[in-house]
Amino acid sequence: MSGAGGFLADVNDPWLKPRLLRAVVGERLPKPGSDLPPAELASVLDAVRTHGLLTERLPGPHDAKLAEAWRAAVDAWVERVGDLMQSDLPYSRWLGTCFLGLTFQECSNERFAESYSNWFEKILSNLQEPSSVQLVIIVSCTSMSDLFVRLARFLNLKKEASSFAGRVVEPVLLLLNANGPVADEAVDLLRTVIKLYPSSVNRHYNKVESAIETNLISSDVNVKLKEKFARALASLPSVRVSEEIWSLMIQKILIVVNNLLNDAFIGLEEEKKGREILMLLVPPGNDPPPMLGDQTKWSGGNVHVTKKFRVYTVPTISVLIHCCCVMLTSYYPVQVNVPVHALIALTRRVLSVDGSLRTKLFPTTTSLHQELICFELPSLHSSFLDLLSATIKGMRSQLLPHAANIVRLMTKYFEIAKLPTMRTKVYSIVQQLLTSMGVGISMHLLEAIVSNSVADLDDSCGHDMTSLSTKPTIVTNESSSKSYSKKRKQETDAQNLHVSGSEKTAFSPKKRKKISMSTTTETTADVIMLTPLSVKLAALETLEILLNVGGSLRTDHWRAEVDLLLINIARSACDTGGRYEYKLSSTVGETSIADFQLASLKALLASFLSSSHARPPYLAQGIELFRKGKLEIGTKLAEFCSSALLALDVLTHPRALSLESAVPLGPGLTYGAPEKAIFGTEKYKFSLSGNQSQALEDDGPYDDWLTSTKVSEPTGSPPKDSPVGKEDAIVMSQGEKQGTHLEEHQQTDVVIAPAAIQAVPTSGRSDIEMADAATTGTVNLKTTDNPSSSNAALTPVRALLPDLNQQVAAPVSEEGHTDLADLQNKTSAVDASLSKAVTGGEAAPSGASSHFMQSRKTDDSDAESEDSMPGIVDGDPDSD
Amino acid sequence: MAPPQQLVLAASSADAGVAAWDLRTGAEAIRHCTCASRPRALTVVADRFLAAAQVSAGNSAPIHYYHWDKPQVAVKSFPVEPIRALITDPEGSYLIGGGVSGDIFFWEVASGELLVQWHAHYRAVRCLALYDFLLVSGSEDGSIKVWDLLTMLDEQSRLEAKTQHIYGFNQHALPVIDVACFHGALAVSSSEDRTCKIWSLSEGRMLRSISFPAIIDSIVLDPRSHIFYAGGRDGKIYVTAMGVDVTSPSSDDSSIIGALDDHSKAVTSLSLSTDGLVLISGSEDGNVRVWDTRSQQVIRKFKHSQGPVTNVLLVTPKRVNLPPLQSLRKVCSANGESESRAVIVPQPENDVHIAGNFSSNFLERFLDALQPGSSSRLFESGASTLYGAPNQQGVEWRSKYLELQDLFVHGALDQLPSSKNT
Repeated sequence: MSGAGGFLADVNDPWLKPRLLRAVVGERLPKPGSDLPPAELASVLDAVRTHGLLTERLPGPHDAKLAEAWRAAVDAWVERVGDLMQSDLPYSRWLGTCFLGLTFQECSNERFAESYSNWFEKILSNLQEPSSVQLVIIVSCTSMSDLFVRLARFLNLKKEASSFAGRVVEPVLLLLNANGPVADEAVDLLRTVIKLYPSSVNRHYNKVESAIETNLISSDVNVKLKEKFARALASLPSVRVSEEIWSLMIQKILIVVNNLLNDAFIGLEEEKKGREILMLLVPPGNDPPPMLGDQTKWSGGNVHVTKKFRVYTVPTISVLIHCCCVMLTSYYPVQVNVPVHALIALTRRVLSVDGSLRTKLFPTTTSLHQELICFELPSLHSSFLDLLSATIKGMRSQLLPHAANIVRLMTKYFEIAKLPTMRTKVYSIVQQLLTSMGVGISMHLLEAIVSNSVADLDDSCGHDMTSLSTKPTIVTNESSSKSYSKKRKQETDAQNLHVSGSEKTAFSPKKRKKISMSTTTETTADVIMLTPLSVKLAALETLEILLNVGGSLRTDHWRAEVDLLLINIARSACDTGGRYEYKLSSTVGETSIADFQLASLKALLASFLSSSHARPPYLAQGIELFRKGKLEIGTKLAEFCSSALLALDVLTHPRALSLESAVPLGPGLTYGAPEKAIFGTEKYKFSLSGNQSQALEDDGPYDDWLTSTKVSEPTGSPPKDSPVGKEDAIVMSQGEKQGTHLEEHQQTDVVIAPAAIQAVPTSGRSDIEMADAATTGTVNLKTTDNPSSSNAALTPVRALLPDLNQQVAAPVSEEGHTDLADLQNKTSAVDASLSKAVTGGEAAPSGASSHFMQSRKTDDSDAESEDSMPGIVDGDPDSD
Repeated sequence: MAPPQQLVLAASSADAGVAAWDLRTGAEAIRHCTCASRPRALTVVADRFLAAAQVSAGNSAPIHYYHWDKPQVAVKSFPVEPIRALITDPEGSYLIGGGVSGDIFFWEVASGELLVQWHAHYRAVRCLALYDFLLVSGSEDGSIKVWDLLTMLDEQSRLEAKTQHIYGFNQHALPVIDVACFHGALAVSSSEDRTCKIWSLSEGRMLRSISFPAIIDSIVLDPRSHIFYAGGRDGKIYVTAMGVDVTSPSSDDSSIIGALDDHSKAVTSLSLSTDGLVLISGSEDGNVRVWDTRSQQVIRKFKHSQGPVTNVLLVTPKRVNLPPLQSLRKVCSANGESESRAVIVPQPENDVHIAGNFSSNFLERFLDALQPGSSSRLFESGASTLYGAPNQQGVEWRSKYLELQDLFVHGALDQLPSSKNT
């Protein structure tokens, strides 16, 4: 330790601080009247903050000498700051107030408690003095709120602080009506006071309210500032501990908004809508609340009608809605009642206006009026989407009774929302709904999300087929074989009269995507044509949440399509990304390629993790992407990829035990019990031609037995057929590349054998694998008369026969629609497996397929088995 | 700050009130009087207050509300029929009751409005469970049904849906006694047919069935979802594995990996702490036991009454400023919609002071703006103004003034690009 003079021990020597501070005060802090260049000012502030010169926090043992020295230095600083504030020159006063604010932040508690009232008076005099320069007032406002924030931490000074706060309110109210920057800081100060010392504002409640309202509707206040005023208005109800005051305020706001909309939407909606909402807001028999603000001002002044809509109506609605949003998402000291019906009705009212005319003959509706509204409609919609989002956030589970209503609204609004910002917002609302309501709502939103996000994501890659040849042949083969199989599937599907419109349309873009997946969209023309990245990002995020929340739900309808889409998106994003990231990161504004990559990988991970009970179809490709991403050190992508790999660890090395019993107790068995014997015999035949894989021998007969039961499993498996099919197709195409059938066979064996093993603990997707396994001969089936398998098979079957009946009967009687879907899926699964059986290897005896057929006929309708016939025929050319 | 008080609650089917013991000290904190509830009829509304459906006495079977600190009944409601099973959603917005006739009642807590009531089962509803907003109900008729509350609460969706429930499971041969849900869309049910069955709610099918040596009266799932505890009528609590080891496909007895055996009579009710370490069990022998699940030892024992304990709960009471509780309505109001009420409940933690950085801290922002690099333009122009251009000496202050103004406008206020300069 060195003393007050001499050399310092090191940079951490506490004596440095008083010395430094003395130097700053003596040499760098200007005296009143003199100037300080901004760079110098910055360095002073920086020095004070970096070294904590004002903290007076002594390290280690108490050193009276040091404490005294430091105290003296800080005293000198405070004195100089005081001098600056007393100066007549605005610049010095400004500087003084600035440094005083810094002192509040940095100084020790003792010093603050000692002199806060003195400082308060100084700043207050700045605020009250009418001659103060604008800049001084601004900085005084901020310093004042700093003072209150610091003061709020002293619980013992609460009373004094409240009285100080009360003294500030009036001068601040005057400042609210000043011009831009001053009012801006004044609002902030007011909000701080309301937040920290609500009781002190109570006395001025009405004055504050009217001052804010005046500013809200004034057309010379800019939008940002208006939003600040709106937030201040929203915090106002916490001043009075009463639940009515909140309800009254939101009621008043909504009435004003509703009235404004009445004028705006003349002719664009049914006339009575406004009145209906008013009835919700003010139930019949109740007195309407007083108007918000000064009634005469709501007319919007005498602006020209065309201009009025743009400069007055829409901004006012926006800012009032913003106020509602804040009110809905903040907490108040008492429980408050939210007019949720009116909120939703109002939102519905606005969001259902799409600009088309409802009453064509309405006299005042002119084409000009319509044009004006259509011009402003996006910003109106945007405001009300925000309102809806705030309602969801604020109400959470209480929104449940209205959830179905909102789902319908959103589903419909997806059709109207074509602009990128709107779409992004709709997606984010859907995300919120999914997160807050969980799996129940995902059933309702599933269709809308899948169809819309697929549409948004698909067209991104779908337009450059020409560059196909530039890529390695693997991809070409892959895609062509895929399109074959898809065609086939499509045909059979069509015969089954099931394919939904969205699915059908999704086929072609998918095919194109598959091709272009390998190509990079490098020309700028391509980039322009894309769906905006922000929209795609939102779509990806929505899919991710959907998968997280309801990924295992009704998988047969959508998972295959979404899984494929996500792996493709992720692959293409990561293909192009490496180069694009550097090229575009500076030019692309809000959403960069890197964000998109991250979102695509996140969604991919969700798709892997949410695959119910089954190994996800594209796991290998996905893991490769994550591995590559992990190498991008220093990016968020790399962080995410390493955690993704960790999360996938569970899938790659299954530690968790399967929920499903290996003993056949599931309905899967009961459903197809009669078939088992048939399958067994068939497989016995196969096994004659097939070579038994080493890997499977350990598991013995039990294993194949399990597989055979799974073939007949009614649920879960169908959706997986196409992904698996594609995987096979990839394998095949690789085989084709290599040229000989022998090689192909070997390769297929290698790939499929582990897959078959994996399928053992899983439940869902095994029928295809079984088919593959059968044809390639990897399934090891030794005997059908193996006592253990037949016994095990038969006894539980008998035991569960009642279950079987119920299980079969239930879907027919109660769930006709799902039943139909099930049947359809089953047939398509059969088709897929059959075609694969044929394409997968010529070694498969033709008898195999017919046996498949027969076995299917036992429980499926005749029509379906007929359907599956063309599948086989169709499949034949593919195998070459 | 002391850890929040955890209470063990127990209720009986004989009228012995709801006893509340402090888990740490073991002292009886309070006994809410007059409460006689069937199993699964006692519930905590988002830790804010307590609700218990009473056994029918005479011609009325009310639902009682109790505040944490008052022994007497706070509010009595009289539903149209005795309620066998009562649950709430995690946020305490709704009370869902299953009646003896097989009807399910859905009340909004804030307003007391009966939002919807529907006929769910042919016989009494014995147990209810929620998974997100899927409601699983088990009935004396042996069926389990899964309801989507979104659909049930919306008239239009209800009409559009082909069936009201999304799944109906009929694999239990005898009355279903208890059902519990867990993440991953799993439900576990127990029945008088001496089995517990595991269901996948997303796929709508049974995954497993596990046979027990006794009828299981109560199920509670470990938060880690790998085991569940099943309270048997033989007084044992069976520790049961959720998953199966595929490598040893023997009988499903292997699922039962242990038993906690200390009660002399049937274990009617179980409750598990959120960390899965403390298990509370209530038995027909009138005792409540607290188990350490790691050591599988009884760590506390409470005597409730002579009568059978039917409900045990482990709760962390949240004492907030509650508005007056509304009693539950008997019937759906004709114009039910306008009466329903959504509220923003005050958050106690929001009463603490806002942090300093919440308010606009001018100087911090000011400093940010002054950091080298972020306002290089300013420094350049500043240099030229101050030192470079002699002909501007006369207006030096003026230009510096404008420049600082610019600084505020840009750096501090984040808006109004140079409104003063223009």
